[in-house]
This record gives sequence, structure tokens and C-alpha cells, in this order.
Amino acid sequence: MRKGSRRYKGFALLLACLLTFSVLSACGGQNGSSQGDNDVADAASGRYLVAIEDEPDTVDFQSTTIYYTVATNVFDRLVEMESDEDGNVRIQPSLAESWEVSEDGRTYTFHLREGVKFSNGAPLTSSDVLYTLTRLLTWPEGCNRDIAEGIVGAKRLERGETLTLEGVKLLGELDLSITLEEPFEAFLACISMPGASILDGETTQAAGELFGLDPGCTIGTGPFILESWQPGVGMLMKANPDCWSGAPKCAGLDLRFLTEPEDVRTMFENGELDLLDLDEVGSAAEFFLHGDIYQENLHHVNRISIVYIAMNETVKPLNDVRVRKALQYGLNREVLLDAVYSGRGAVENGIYPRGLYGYNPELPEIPYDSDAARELLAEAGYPDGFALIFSVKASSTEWEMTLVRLAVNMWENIGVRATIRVLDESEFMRLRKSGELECYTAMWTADYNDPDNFAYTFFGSRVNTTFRSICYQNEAVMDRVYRARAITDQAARLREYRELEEIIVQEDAAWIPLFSRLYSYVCQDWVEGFRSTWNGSVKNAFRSFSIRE
Amino acid sequence: MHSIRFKIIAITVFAILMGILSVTLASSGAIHRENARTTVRMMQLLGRDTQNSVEEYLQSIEQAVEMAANFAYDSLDSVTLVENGAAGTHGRRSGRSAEQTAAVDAYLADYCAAVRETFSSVAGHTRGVVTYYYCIDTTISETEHGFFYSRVGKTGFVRQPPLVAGELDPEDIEHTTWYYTPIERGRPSWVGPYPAYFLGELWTYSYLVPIYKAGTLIGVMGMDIPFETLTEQLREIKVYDSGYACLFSENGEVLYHPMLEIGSMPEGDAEAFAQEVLGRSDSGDELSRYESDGETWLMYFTTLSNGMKLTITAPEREITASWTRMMRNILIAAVSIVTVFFVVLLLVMRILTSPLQRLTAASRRLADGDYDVKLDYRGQDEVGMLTAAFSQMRDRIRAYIEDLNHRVCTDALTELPNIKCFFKLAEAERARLREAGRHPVLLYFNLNGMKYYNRQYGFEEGDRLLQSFAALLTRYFEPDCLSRFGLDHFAAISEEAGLDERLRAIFEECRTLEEGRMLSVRVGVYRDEMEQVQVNNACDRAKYACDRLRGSHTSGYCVFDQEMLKLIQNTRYIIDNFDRAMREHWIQVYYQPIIRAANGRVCDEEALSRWVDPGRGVLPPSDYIPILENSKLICTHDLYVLDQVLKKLQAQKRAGFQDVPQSLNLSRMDFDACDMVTEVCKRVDAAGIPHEKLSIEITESVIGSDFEFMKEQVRRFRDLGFPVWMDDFGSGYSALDVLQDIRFDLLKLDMRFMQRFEVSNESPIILTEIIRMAIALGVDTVAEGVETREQADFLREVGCTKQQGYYYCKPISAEEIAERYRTGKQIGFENLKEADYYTALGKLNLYDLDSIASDSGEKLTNFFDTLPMAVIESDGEGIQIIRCNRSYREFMQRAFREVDITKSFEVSALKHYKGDPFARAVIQCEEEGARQFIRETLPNGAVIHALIRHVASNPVTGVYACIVAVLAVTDAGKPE
Repeated sequence: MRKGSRRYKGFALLLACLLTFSVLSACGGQNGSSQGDNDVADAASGRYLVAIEDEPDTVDFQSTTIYYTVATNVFDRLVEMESDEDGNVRIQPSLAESWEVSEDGRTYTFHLREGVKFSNGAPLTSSDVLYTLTRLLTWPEGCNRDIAEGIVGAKRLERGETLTLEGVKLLGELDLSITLEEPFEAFLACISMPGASILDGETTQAAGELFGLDPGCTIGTGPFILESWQPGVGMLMKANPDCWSGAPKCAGLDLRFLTEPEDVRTMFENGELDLLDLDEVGSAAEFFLHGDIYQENLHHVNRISIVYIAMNETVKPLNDVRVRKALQYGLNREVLLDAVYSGRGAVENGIYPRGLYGYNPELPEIPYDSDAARELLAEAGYPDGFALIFSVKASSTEWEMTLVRLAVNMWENIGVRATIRVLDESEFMRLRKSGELECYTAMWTADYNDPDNFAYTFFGSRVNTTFRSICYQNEAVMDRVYRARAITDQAARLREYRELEEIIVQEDAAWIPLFSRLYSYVCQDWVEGFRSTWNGSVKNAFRSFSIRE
Repeated sequence: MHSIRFKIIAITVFAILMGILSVTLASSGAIHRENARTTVRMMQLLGRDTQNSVEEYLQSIEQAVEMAANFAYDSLDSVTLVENGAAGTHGRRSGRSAEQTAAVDAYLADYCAAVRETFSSVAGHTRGVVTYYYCIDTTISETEHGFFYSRVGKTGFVRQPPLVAGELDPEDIEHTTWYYTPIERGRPSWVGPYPAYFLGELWTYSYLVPIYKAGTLIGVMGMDIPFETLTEQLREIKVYDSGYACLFSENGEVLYHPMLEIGSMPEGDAEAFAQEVLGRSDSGDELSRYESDGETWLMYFTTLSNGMKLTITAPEREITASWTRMMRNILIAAVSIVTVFFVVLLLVMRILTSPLQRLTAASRRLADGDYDVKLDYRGQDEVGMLTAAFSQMRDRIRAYIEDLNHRVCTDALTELPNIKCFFKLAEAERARLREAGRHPVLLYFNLNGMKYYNRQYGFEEGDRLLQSFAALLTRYFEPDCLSRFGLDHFAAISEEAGLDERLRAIFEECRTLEEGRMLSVRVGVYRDEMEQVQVNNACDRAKYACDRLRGSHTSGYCVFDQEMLKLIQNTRYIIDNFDRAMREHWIQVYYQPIIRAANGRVCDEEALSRWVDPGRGVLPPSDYIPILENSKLICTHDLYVLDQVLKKLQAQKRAGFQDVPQSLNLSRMDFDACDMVTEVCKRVDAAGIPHEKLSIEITESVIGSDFEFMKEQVRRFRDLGFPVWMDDFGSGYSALDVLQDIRFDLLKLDMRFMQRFEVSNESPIILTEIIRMAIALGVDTVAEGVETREQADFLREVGCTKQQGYYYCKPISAEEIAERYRTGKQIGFENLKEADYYTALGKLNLYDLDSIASDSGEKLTNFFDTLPMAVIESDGEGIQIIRCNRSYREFMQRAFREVDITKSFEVSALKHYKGDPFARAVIQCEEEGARQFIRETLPNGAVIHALIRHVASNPVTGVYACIVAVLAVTDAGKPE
């Protein structure tokens, strides 16, 4: 009997265990789920600003002239160009706290800001600047060499004759001097360009080709830190709370690589997109522009930029200035602006758009005169017109496409039978850079507030002009453009630029200026701090955006 | 104490109950949660399904309109419009010319026609459309207004006059919302539902797309659907019993509600509900709840892409009803399960435990001694094995017990029931016989001389004899009615009829048993008829009867009779009253004087007890001494007597009486009961009595039984100075060798010699020889039972120095002695100082020449017995013949006819003999103290040759004694 009762005790114990277990497991299930909810809630705080971004091939700003979002948000320059309250653009200290210019205007002595650190914790030193400039000149893929080409010894370094950049002298941890071959008025403006962003020498050197591709080694001093980059999806930048210039106002940037206007529009209407560039939504932009409900959050930004049509002078019959002129006269640019952009913008007649230093409002208007155009064509030997291939990037906006279509239609009136050829991005760029595109339209936004940024880029050298597939033939003008950089007398320099502008556009009809545009953005209600930089770039001013919870 | 079955059932039911309880508790929570989750999911599913279906429908409309709108947009030539000042900033600034207006109108007419075609095609493929239209804004064209189609009956779409935008009054919201709302919103959107005036106030829902080109509003394109088709789907939705779906506009207007009017604003309960809905975009993962009609309702809601709020709501009571139902079912199931389990368990337990129970019952019966209990469970399980083991155990125990019983009840040697068992069997048999009207008798058998048989043939043979005898008995009695009580004692119960014949037959057979070595059998019979006593008592009585035959050497039987009964009763009486008898002095000590033959005085007294019973009178010692001996009480008795004797001696001493030694009879049993020597010595010393004053009488026969022991005891008494007498010498099987080893001070001759003195010739001879032997051994003798003068004379002559008997005195009490002493009747005590003297005289055997030769040391062998001898006493003056033998008397008579020698006579009387040599010799003997040889010539001429020897002198009187032996007598006339 004893033995029996013990066995019953054991049984009872087992029973108790089972009961306890079942109760515990029932409770456990509940606990598990509620914990999960908490985690999600935690992660939701400090939302990233969501915006649309073009997917870059590289974010190595020394190797691109287009994609500067990472450069301007993750990196800093020695100096920054900013517009003051009166709209005047001035050079402001950035990484360089102060600088002096020698009397001959050739030597710039920079004093770097103290305590600036890269996001990996490495301190900024003058050697980082030297490294940046050296890499700018020697990196094989580099395409912003013109920034540093004026420095003493730059050419030799470029050519591989030396390994050091002679013109740069490190004066101390935070002090350095840069000596130019000859004085260059726009040098400070020039080094404020995104392409002149300062690299962390050690990291970047170690990264090699991975710089600009791998977020882990794309290290800057800027307000954001490149967090991830998912090809075809987007990139994430988180706020750099230790940024020397202060942390950005949002937790980070969530940039999506989206191209379909319908998707972008739906996303914005669903509240999934915080900032919408109306260029991204095509014809639907009209709804945003006209609908009452968006009016409060609609922002218009004047961008210092110019929409132009490039004509390759090495391609027949575009090599004939009369043909080029005919094409200039054959476009009713005002109608184009109206029909495409509902008139939001201004017709430009030169190279330097409104707002840029050196803009010439006095330029003679390029008239819309189809009769004169036809005559010129006949003169040039094309009374029945000619066939032309108008190349378009596949990633072009709907407006750009419309623009091209309308332009082509207009040219038809003068007998020019233009065919629109859509090329994918890389092919388009390859052809353009090698000077093989016949005709295309594009827009140039000022990198720095100086006519040099336009004149030199397109017509500063054979290389530059070929790079743009303009293939300008007037060597004298190009020489003048190059030399204009060194003109120290501002008035003389301005005069020279205006003269050159007139020669290039009016006399040589080397390109067709179309218009500068008013850009429109719509923000969600909860987005605050909408701002644009001096040149009208919103992307470069992300750090001031914040999201209201 | 509960049975295992009860415990297992209780525990199992408890376990199941607990299991069900825990499962129910756990599952009720889980089910409740799951139910809630399921409800949420179901409502969400239903909601999403409805949403999807509604949205799909709406999307089909949206797509249709947008398709048409895209076409309308794309096919619109913005350049034409701009150039003609209809759009863009360029032309408008300058105003439009009539040509331009005309151009635009014309263009638009063509354009509208193209769009109409496309739109019609699209609308034709779209479900549920009632109207579609394109309304050109009046600012673009004054003339071209677009188109308007509506469905009429079954005939399809019929073109109607277009709606003219210019005629629309923006203030008249109700009728123009369809146009202005999308323009305000600046995007394609749903408008309504509103009662469309162009459709007869039908509640209409419209999807409208404003068409912009070159920054200018061209017009509005749209499609209408009757709102009814949308709400039809909702109407079909039924959730539980009373749940339903409803639809609200973005601002909370009722669009569809089973109880409310379309277009109305919810009030009361519904308002709270609407507030809940409008507050959030959807109900999320949980369901919203609100109170309505005093009930809690759970609600799912979501916002459709067009901003409408779709809700599905159901009362919580109905939702949880399934849970409640489920819980009820679980409970019912639980109760059924427990019940079924209980019943099944009960059955199973019964099956499982019934063998156990049977086993338990069996073990209980086994414990009660029932070894015939049945164990018939034959299962192969543990219980089966247990049962098997148990039954094996039972068998073994039974075997053991039977064996044990057999052993306990059976005599191992003869296989007959033993005494214990016999009593039971006999009891039953007796009852049986009595019932049968027969007369039961109990028999007790005892073999005569078994001890000697064993001694003679050995124990094995003795055992065989017993077995043979047992076998013999079984032939005459039922084996169950027989028993061997032990040794050679057998008992039987039988009926009286034919008993005598049977016993005789048995006796007859006994003769031939064991090759004729068989001993005789004595049988005691107790007839039940006599008195119905218990069997063991009956056996006792039979044995008693049997023992009456002790000493007989032939077979025979004795029936227990009234006398024996009386004896037995007497015995019982004695034993029962012994203590009282001592306490109340029923036992009294009497003293019988012992007379010295030489002087006729009392020389000893024998202490004898008597039982003076107040009811029964005086009981002689023979009536109770053997009983006390048998019952081991004799020691007490004897010590009692001793105490009395010592008291008497003390009293006499105090009184200054002459006292003589007292003799005390001790039984053999006394020595078994205690260390009698020490006891006696202790008491005597305590009383301050000299040891020689107490003589110890020990019966001769008892010495033989344990010779060495008794020899030692005798020695110890004697060493302490107590004279030891041998009592009853010559009785029974006395062996003379006792005398060879044990030194006694006195032999007391058995009374039977005296009883047979007159009738037997042998008796005097034996007496003479014994006495002579005793004298030769130097031991005194006492003869008991002397009753006549002849006896006394004879004894004196043969040298028996002391005599005891009625001739002298019967036993008398101490008081009587004192009385007699006072009155002078007393015989007179011997002076102890003279004792030696008389002893010496007494020891002279006048028939033994040693009497005369003892001192000389010479061996006189050639004398015959009949020499005339006499003991004479002389005081110097006279001579007295104290005693003489027969031949001396004859001699004296021959020689001195005139002298009566039996009387003392003066020596002088003999002086007539000249020279009287005899007298001179006597005197000379005394004087010289030596043996004198005398030669005397008698007057008749005869010459006498005599030997005379001094025997002893009396220290008190101064007389001396001589023994005279006449050696030869020569007649005067005849030569020798």
C-alpha cells in the first residue's frame, strides 16, 4: 500500500507539471506576440525622409558629372556656395574655416576647421585635401579634373610625370596652400563644386574601386552617412549626429529608385513619398499644379540651369552654321515652354541662364522665323530639308519627351526630318562622351556661380566640347574661354564671357538655348523645412528637411 | 481504508477532471482568443473582399475613364492650342484672334469626335455604366462642348446633347459638383454619390478626370454609375445574425446603411459609430467596438481608395455565441467523457481488481485458518502470477500445517493421536457414543515393567514393543479413539459392551507379542456412566484405576469405582485443606515411645503426625502422607512436624523433664523439594537443641531410587551429628548392599515382620539374622509393631535393643506425655548416661558367639548357635540374669530346676553351690575386667565349661554386666 501511494504521488506530480506547462504555454504565446509589437514600434520612431532618386552608376563624385546627391549630402567641400538673403551668391567657409589669397591671386592658403571628423571617426587633416586633389587628377575614371587642373603641377601629375601635386603645400595638420598656375577667379567657386568634395584619404585609398560603390567605404564628413545601396531599389542614408555642422533635421534619407510616373504618383498620393519632384510624374503634374488641395504644399524653385539642344558640328549638315541657325530659327521656344511646361520658366538666348553670375539680359533674341529658317536651309543647300537623328535618353521625363516631340514637329515645318532615337542611359552617355551624338537636348545646372562653369564645360577645350558631343570647332573661341578663367579684372572677364557667349550662340549657333525652368515640388503635409540651395537644387538641401510626427 | 479500486478510480477521475479542467481553461482562453482572432480575420476578410470587389468595380470604371482620358490627353495637340492662344501663357497674353478661335473650334471638333469614338468603345466594354461624357471647358471653345452619352433601357448608350460647362453655375453645387469637384481636386476623382439631375435624380457616382494640356484645363471627362450597383454588394453581406455592412463618405455621410437614408448624417448611436470610423483610416488588426441599442458591436472598417469608409459590424453577443456554444459543448463533452471514463474505469477496475479482491478475501480466509480457500484466477498477468504464488503458498502452508498438526496430534512412534489430540477426539467420540445410546468407557493402558524391558532389551526394542502394542490396540479400537500418552501409557475410548472380551483378547495377544517377551498390561477403566466428567478427568480416573494395579505383574484391568472416586476425592481434600490443616493445627504431632529392651525404659520417641479433621475425624498418616508426597507438599509437612518436635523439646527442656532423642520421619520427596539437611540443621540450631537429640528416619526403599544422592544426604546428617535411622528395613525390594555403602545408626525393622511373627516360622529367623547382622555391623535395631510379650521377649533375646509398639505404648500427644509423666504412668525415660551401657547390653546377641568373643579378637568359628548364653548383671551382691537364650534357659532348667531364671536372683541363692565358680567368675570378671573361662561342677555332677566376659558397667548404679556362654556341659554320669 505504501508503495502504491508513492506511485500516486508521482502521478499527481506529473499531472501538476502538465497543468503548469499548459498554463505557461498559454501565457507564453501572448507574451511573445506583444513583444514583437513593441519592437516594431521602436523601429518606427525617427522616420527617414522618403524621396525619389535616379539610380546612379557610381556615387564617386570624381567620376560623375550628373549624380551628386551623395556628394552633397554625405560629403563636404572646403568652401560652400550659398545665397544670402538678397539672393546674392557668396562663397562661405565650410571645411576650410578661413583662407587667404595671395596678391598674385595664385596661392590660396586654407585653414581647416578644427575638430572635424569623418563618420568613421578619423579626423580631417590637410593631407585629406591633398589626397582628394591628387585623386581628382589621377583617378582613371575621373571626369571632374578641370576643378584641379589649374593647380601647379596638375598637368604633370595627370600625365603621370610626377606622383606629387606640386602646387599643394601642407602647412600643418589643418593648414595647406594651393598654388595655381595662373590666377583663377572662380577657383573658390570651383572647389565648392560637389566634385571637389573632400575624401577621407586613408579610407578611400584603402577602398580603391569600391569607393562610390560600397557604402562601407564611402566615408565623408557630411550630415548623412551612406547606409546602404540596393541596386534597383534605393539607398538609405542615416543622419550623422556627430556632423561638425550639426545633425540633419531628419533621421535619414530613404531614396527610392523609381522611374514610372504612375508609381511615383500613387506612392505620393498614398503618403508613402514625402517629397515629390513634379518632373517625376509626367502629365499628372498638371493635377498637382492645378488641384486646390496641393496648393499649400506646392513649392516652385528657380534653378540656375539651362535647357539646351546640342548639335554636333562634326556631323553633316550640322557642320554648316547656316543649318544650325535654321534649326535655331525653326523652334518656337515660347510655344515649346508653354506647351510643355505650361510656360513655367523663361526662354533663354545665351549660355548663362538667369540667376548666374554673368547672365546677359541684353542678348539679342533668337527669333522664331520658319521662313528665314527655310531660306537658310536652302542657302546651305538643303531646300528640301534633311534628316536628323534626335537622341533621347530612355530615362527622360515625359516632359522632356514631349519637348523633343514638339521640337521635332516644329522642325518638320522647315523641312528638317528629325527622327527620335531613344537610347538607354549608358549608350547615350557613351556616345555623347565620345562626341558621336548628332543632336540631343539636355539641361545644365550651375555647379558654381560663374559663367566659367558653363563656358568652360561646353566650350572650354576640345576635350570638353567633344565630351558634350558638341564638337565645337572654333579653336580661337575655345582658347579664349580657357584663358578667360585667368582674367583677374572682373569687368573685363565678364565682358569677355559675354562676348564669347554671343559668338558661340549668335554667330556660330553652336547650340540652341531653350529656356531656364521653374521647378515644382510637392511635399506631404508633414514635411517641413523645404529649402533649395543657391542654384535651386532641392536634393542638395535635404539636411534642412524634417518630418513632423 | 479505501480499496485500491476506489483509489485508482478516484485518482484517474481526478486526473481526467483536472486534465479536462486544465484543457478547458487553457483551451477556453485559446478558443476565446482564436475565436476573437477568427472573427477579426473573418470580418477583415469579408471587409477586404467587399473592398476588393467594390474597388475592382470602381477601378474598372477608373481605368475606363483614364484610358479615355489618356487618349484625350495624348491626342490633344498642345502646340495647336498654344499657337492659337487656347492654352499656355504665350497666346493668351495677346488674346485670340477670330481665326485662332475658329481653328481651335475646328480642331476641337475633330478632336472630340476621335475621343468620342474611343470613349464609346471603352464605355461599351465597361460594366455598370449609365453615362459617359466629355465636357469641354468653355474657355477653350465656345462652340465645341464635347459629348454626352447615357444608357437608355436595353438599347445601349444613346447620344444626348452635351452638357455645356458654360451653363453650369458654380454656386449650384448640387448640380455641378461633378464638374467642379475634380477641377478643384486637381486630379481624377470620384464624385458623389449625388442625385444626378441629368439622370432623373438617380443617386449617381461619377468618376471624373480633368484634362489639362499645356497648363490649361481643357475639360472634364467622366463616367457615371448608379450608386445602387455599388451598394447591392453591401446589402448582400450578412454577418452572423444581425451584422451588416455599410458605407460612409469621407465626411461621414451615410452612403449605404440598411437602416439609414442615403445622404443623411448619422445620429444617435450611429453617430458614435461614425465618429469611430472617421477618426481612423482603418480598424487595424483589432476590431473596433461601440455601443448601440444597449449592445456591444464589433466593427471592421477600412477606407476605400476613393475615401469611402466601408464598415462591417456585428453584435459581440453573436460573435461570442459560437464560443459560448463551444464552451458548452466542451463542458458536455467533458462530463460525458468523465462519465464514460468512470463507467469504463469501473468495469476495467472490476475486471482488474476482482482477482485481487478474490485474492484479498482468500488471504483473509487464509488468515482465519481456512486453507481450503479456492484460488481459481488463472490470468497471465501480475495478479495471476500473484494468485498462483499465493495458491502455492497456501498449499505449502497447508502442507506444513497438516504436517505440524499431524506431528502435534500424533505420537511419532506409534502414529496414534497424542494426548492433546486424543482429548478432542475422545470428546467427540464420547458424544457420538452417548448419542447412540451406548455407554462410553475410557481405558488407560500401562505396560508393566517397561523400564526393565528397556533396560534389558534396549530402547529400540522397547520402542518396537510399544509399536507392536499400538498396532495390537488398533485392532480392537478405532485408531482415532486411541492415544499414546507417552512412555508406555496408552488411552482409548470405547463402548462398554464387549469390553471385557476385548480386553481379555488383548491380554491374550499380549502374551505372544514380540516373541513372547511382551509384558503384561494393566488397564484402568472409567465408565462414563459413573459420572460425566471431562475427558481428561475421565482419563485421570482410568489412570487411577490402572495405577491401582501397580505392582501386579499380570495383565488385568481395574474399573474405577466409588472407592477410588472417594480416594481421589480424599486426595483432593487433603491437598486443598493442607494449608488450613497446618494453620488450624488439624495436623497434630503424636509421639510413640521406643523402649529399650535392656532396661524397659523409653529411650527414644518417634514423632508421628495425625490429621485430626474437624469433619472427618482422625486421619492416619497413611491417608494423607502419600498424597502429600505425591503433591510435593510433604516437605512442608515434615518441616512442620519438625517445628512441633523442636517446640516440644524446648518445652520439655524448659519444664526440666527428662528427654530422649526424637525421631523424625523424612520422605524421599523432602530431599527433592529442598536441601533438607540444611533446613533441618538450621531449625534445630535455631531451637538450640543438640543434634543428637534428633534422629532422622529415612525409609529404606527410597534410598534405592537414588542411591548416591541419598548416601550423600545421610552422610551429611551424620557428619552434623544427627543419628540417621533406616526405616522399614526389610520391606519391599530392599537390597542389603545399601548397608554396605551407607552407614546408619539404626535399623528399624519393618512392621510386617512383627505382624507375621506368630504365623510364620521364617519371620523370627529373618529377624534374628537381621538383628545379628545389625549387631555385627554395630548398628542398633528397633522393632516396630511389638504387641505381645512373646514378641518383646524374643526380640530382647535376639539382641534387638529397642522396641516400639502397642505392647508398650501407642502414639500419644505431647500433652499426654506430660500428663502421663505427671501422673507417673509414664514408662520412664532412660537416663541418657546409661544409654551406652544399655546399648552395649542390647547389642549382645545371645545367639552369636561374637558376643562373647568380640573383644578378644579371637576367631571362634566352631561354635554353634545354640550355645547357652546369658547376660547377667551383678552389683557384687547378687546376680541377675538380664536375658538369656533358649538353650541357656534349658540349661538352667536342667541344672537349676528350682530357679526361675526369668527373675533376677541373688547370687547367694546360688551359693549353695560349693565354690560357686560362676558367681566368682562374674565378680572376678568385673574386677579384672577381662574374659574369664570357668569350670564349675554342678551339684548334679555335671561340669560346666563357661566363658564369661565383662560387657559394660552402669555408670549410674555401679552394676556391671557380663555375658556368659556355656561352652560345654558334661553330665556327671556320662562322659563328654
